[in-house]
Amino acid sequence: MEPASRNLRTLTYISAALFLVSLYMVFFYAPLEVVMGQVQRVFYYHVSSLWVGMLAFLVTFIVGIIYLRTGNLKWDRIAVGSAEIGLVFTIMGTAGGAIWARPIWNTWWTWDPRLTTTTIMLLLYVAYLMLRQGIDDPERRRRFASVYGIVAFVSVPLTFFAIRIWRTIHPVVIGTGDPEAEGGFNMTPRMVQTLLFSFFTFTLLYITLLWHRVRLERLSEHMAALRAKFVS
Amino acid sequence: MLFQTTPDTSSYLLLGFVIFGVVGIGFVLSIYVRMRNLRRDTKMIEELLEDSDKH
Repeated sequence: MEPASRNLRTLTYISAALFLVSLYMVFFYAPLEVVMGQVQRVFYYHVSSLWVGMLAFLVTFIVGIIYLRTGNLKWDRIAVGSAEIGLVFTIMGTAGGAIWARPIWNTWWTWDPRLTTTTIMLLLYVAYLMLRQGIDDPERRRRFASVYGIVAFVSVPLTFFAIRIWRTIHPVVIGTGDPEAEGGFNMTPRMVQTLLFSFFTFTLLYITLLWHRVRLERLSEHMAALRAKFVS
Repeated sequence: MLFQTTPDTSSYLLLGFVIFGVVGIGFVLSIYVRMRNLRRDTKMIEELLEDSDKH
């Protein structure tokens, strides 16, 4: 397997540098939210992580359809890589949210519609990776996983709109939410800039990680082919 | 009192960023370790295949 291309290395360095800038903005550029205190800063990465989680699952959904239509292996590599990255970012965002909730809602966890649908989404994509591990025949594995990735995507819009459809205590960042939501706040321009910059940085991090993860998948397939050749 | 003081929630902030760091760095490391192991195994099998071709 050839080493990482120059483009990938450049993208990795840019992502790392932007991540450091976003950390600076979260801690020093964005002002202190006076009602919640320092814990409000968790919000920037909590929202950005869950955004990347949903984006990644959307990509798995789209490339799943393309794979079923074309049968080209590269789309399946992107699907599995994206699902794995989406899962990691969803776990990160959910854990960050629970930590934010402890001082604001006075509980780590509550079965609110948003939290419930997020848990369902998370478990569906854990099952996606388990499904892939459980099927030996590569062609069958790819087909089943593509169909599953398409069906599991139903949980993503459900999670996104949960706070806009049902009664909830979870605040809405964009648009208007339930008046009973707890922990909402009006963002100052610097807070909006920090949030948008975190969104951008996390999206770039996603692309970088996906590129690396696809290379890993390709190497894994090469290894499986060599092993089959060695055994025969 | 008509005004409210800002609560000290910095320990939760710290905990949050420790979690972000552990999960994020853990994932990057897992990609690195899997890649390294696969490269090593691939190299080994390629050498074995070369040897078996010679004999």
